[in-house]
Amino acid sequence: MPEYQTLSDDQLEGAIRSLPRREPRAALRARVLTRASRPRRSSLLLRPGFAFALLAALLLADLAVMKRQDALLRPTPLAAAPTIAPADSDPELAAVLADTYGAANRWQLALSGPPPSGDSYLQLRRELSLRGKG
Amino acid sequence: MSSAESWTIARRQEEAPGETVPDATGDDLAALYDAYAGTLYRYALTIVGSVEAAEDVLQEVFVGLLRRRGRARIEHLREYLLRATRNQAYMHLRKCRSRSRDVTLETWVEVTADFGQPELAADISAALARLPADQREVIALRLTGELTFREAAEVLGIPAATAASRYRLALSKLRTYLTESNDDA
Repeated sequence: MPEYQTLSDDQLEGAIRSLPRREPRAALRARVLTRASRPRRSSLLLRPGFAFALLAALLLADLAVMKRQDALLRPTPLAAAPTIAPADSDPELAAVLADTYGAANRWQLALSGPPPSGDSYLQLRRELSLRGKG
Repeated sequence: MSSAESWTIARRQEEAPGETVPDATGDDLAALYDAYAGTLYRYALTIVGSVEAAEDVLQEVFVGLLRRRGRARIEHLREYLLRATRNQAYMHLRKCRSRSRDVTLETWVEVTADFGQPELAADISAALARLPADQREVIALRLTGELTFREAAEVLGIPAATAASRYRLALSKLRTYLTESNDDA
């Protein structure tokens, strides 16, 4: 039986170094090398086609949302000028009312379409002022 | 120059900006494996204390190395691999916290009848298993990895003087444990 008490550090180191050592199984070597020879799988997110498809899908979705919002926000034009009841008895009042509805409709059309230019705005103001409706 | 030596990868990319190594071929990796697998396996075994777990750790280390192919140079490849082994081994231990503490740790010492002094091998293996993990690590790095104290300290992330004193303390404890086992017998 070895006398461990009397072992110096060097002797103890020598004894430890001399011991048989475990080695990894040969199958592990084959497993690691097989894995190394396998081509690396690229992530789905890194595939080039996927990025373009994702971008196109996002743009289409954005476009659809914008169209839907446009449709919801567009104001409906006012109904056509109603028949003026007192037109027969009071032609002057009928003419004023018809002009008023006409001006309102033109405003409505101007607001629902592209922004009115300064000229068209001034023209409408002028018309309404001349008729005492401004 | 061997494939293992030629396949140096920068340990810290900032040390060698822009330097990359070509992809390792299967032959390169086989040479690397043959050069370092034994040392890394025994070091992993020192930490995880199980043959199966040490093999898993070793595989993860080489898989991790493969992921770095062609990315950056590594200097001091052996120390890099030992550090990677240490990280993987402690990661494995964290995952297996539920493991019973009563399980006897397996060490790198192969106790076989073929060895002339099987009793010595068994005693030293049992004494190594009783050492605290940090002391067992420094013994493994010095006596199976043949690292200097400075190199071992770099792997462990401690000053070289601490590694040296830890090593002396471990040898002293080993002697005590061996004497106790002698007395018990």
